[in-house]
Amino acid sequence: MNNSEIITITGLSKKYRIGIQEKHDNLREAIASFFSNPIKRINRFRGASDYSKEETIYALKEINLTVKQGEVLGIIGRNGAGKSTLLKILSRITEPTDGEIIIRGRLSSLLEVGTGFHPELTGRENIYLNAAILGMTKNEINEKFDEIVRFSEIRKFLDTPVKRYSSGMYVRLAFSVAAHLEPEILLVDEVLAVGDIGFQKKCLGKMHDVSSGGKTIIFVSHNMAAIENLCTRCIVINDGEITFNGNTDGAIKYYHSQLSETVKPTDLLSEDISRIGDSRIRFKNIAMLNSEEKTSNQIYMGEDVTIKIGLKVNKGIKEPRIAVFFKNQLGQTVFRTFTWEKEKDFSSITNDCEILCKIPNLPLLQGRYYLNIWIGEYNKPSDFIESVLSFDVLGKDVFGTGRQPDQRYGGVVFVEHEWDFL
Amino acid sequence: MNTNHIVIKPQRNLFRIPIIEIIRYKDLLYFLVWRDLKVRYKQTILGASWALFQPLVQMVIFSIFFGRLAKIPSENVPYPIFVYSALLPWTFFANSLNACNNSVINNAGLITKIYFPRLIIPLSAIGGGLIDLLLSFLVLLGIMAYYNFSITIHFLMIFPLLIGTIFTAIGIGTLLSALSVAYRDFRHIVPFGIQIWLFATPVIYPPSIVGSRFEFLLNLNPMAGIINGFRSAILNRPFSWDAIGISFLISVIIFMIGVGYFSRVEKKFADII
Ligand SMILES: Nc1ncnc2c1ncn2[C@@H]1O[C@H](COP(=O)(O)OP(=O)(O)OP(=O)(O)O)[C@@H](O)[C@H]1O
Ligand SMILES: [Mg+2]
Repeated sequence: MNNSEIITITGLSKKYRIGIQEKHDNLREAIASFFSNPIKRINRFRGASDYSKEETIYALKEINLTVKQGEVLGIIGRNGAGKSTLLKILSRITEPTDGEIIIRGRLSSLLEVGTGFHPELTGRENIYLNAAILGMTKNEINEKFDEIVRFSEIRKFLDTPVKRYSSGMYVRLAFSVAAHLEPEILLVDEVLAVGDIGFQKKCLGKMHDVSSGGKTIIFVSHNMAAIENLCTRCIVINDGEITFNGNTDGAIKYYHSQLSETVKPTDLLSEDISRIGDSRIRFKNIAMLNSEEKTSNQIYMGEDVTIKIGLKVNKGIKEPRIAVFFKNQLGQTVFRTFTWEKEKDFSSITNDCEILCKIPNLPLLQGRYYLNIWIGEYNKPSDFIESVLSFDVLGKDVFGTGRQPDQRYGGVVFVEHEWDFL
Repeated sequence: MNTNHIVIKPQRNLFRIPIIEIIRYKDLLYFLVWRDLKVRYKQTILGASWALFQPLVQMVIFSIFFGRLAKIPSENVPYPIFVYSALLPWTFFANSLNACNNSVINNAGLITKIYFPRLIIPLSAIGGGLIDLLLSFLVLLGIMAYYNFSITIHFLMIFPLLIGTIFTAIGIGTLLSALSVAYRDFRHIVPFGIQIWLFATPVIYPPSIVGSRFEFLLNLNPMAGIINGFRSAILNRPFSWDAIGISFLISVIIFMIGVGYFSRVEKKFADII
């Protein structure tokens, strides 16, 4: 088929009202507020435009974008950037405040794994239900049923209620249904983040097949490796605006450079850092120290580095576990350090304190790297911040040969090694 | 191939019933009804027979308290069949409102993740009740046989009357389901409202009891004419066509208001639910 525009977006904006849930401490207050401002309370359905500025936010601002048939477009951006909002408008779940979109083809969206799954129903029943919800007709489902079951590899549990499924089985079943949709345009939001690696790969493979069959895919993910693998083009959304639109590598690099600009490592307690966790312990600050124990983000290959982490304890947790992930520019975790694996018991943390993680002989090749930090109880996060800090690794003659190992020849890390005859 | 272009832009608030869309999504409607029935009866021992239970038990209780003790007149018909013939459509109506009321909120997961005509949700809530209604008709036939009533030509009126009931249920049900998205208070108010409505409808008493001066007022309640019509159809008594006419008119108006309001606000569901 030709390279015609399959989606055209012009001047698209979406305004959300925020703080809808006003809190009333008691019924009397609620009634009083009703009488003092009945219009406002009655018109909860009114559009955002009727409200004063501070109560609204723009999730998307004046977006212009075209997507060609057969393209796999990646969308990346920080939490709350507006990625899901864009997909929701494209799939007609929510309405734009302004602008226009023209879609020239049958569109399916996959914003969640297993939308509409009912825990009491069996796998078989849920296949029918979920497929109908995703837009298949009864005949289409009957036709594809066997194939769906085969793809999911859970035939044995087909007549078990899905509430008895492990979460992995649940994901398999749900994704198998979705993978058998036959739209011309497929929207996918972050659904690959779940499930075991093997199955994720299988799904990526299936999506790859789908795209090579001339289908158009729009793919939102925080998984840069998946983005890199799949996408032919990529946009970066920042605060509701498209700030980059071009090739995938460029977009990923741009995104990471933007991340390191925006995160201020000095004060991690600030409001505008996006984080996940119950906040019983929070990261207060983080710094990278070079071999002279000075804060630096220019590190040499093979240097002995220390990561200094300040913790704020709001409410202690039992046996806290801390992990630091080292990611490269593609978002792949190169390695991580983890207290549990080293049997380091930090259960004595009850007050604010600073801890250190020493890494001798940092094995990274040249390039820019990013840290994710995680603290939690068992596998339950108290605080998790992505790309909290970035640093550059500079080349060095680590083997003492007068020659620098170079990233251009492939790889991310260097290791000590010897060559010899047998 | 790509003949059907979709244009997405802010919609003006027009009154619109997306009939074509609903037909296109009829399989989804079917599966949602199917899901609700399956789930409802999955872990119960009596299964679908629970649907028969509710009007039957009510019939027994009402017969004892209103028929025996309060001696409410039943126009020369045994009170149990007098009240059951009205409880049948009433139970369907009341259950429909209850189901609709919570339906949109209960399906928040679908509404925020998938596009489909939102009207399908309250419609599916009513659809489940229709199946229950069918089952209770079997019980009705048993009771009719017991009291020596036979099926006459009047019975045919049940179909138009049922359509009137469905129209009213859709009208009120869509209105409630939309309102309870914005105001969760409705979840608590509606059961009361239905209880009061029951007493404002000639279910446990004949319409004649209110006296001719107020009969007009009674008929403003669309369920009054319809429920009494059901009774006439089942018990082979003369129809009061005035009352049925007014009821139908009002139920159509309610239908328009409910569906109109729903289709005006449905686009906001995903944002505020
Ligand atoms: N229904 C809503 N009401 C009010 N604000 C909303 C609503 N949905 C989203 N928002 C806001 O719109 C902004 C964009 O949200 P969106 O879900 O599109 O982000 P995202 O890019 O998908 O983030 P993430 O990577 O975390 O999924 C956020 O600030 C969010 O708080
Ligand atoms: Mg999102």
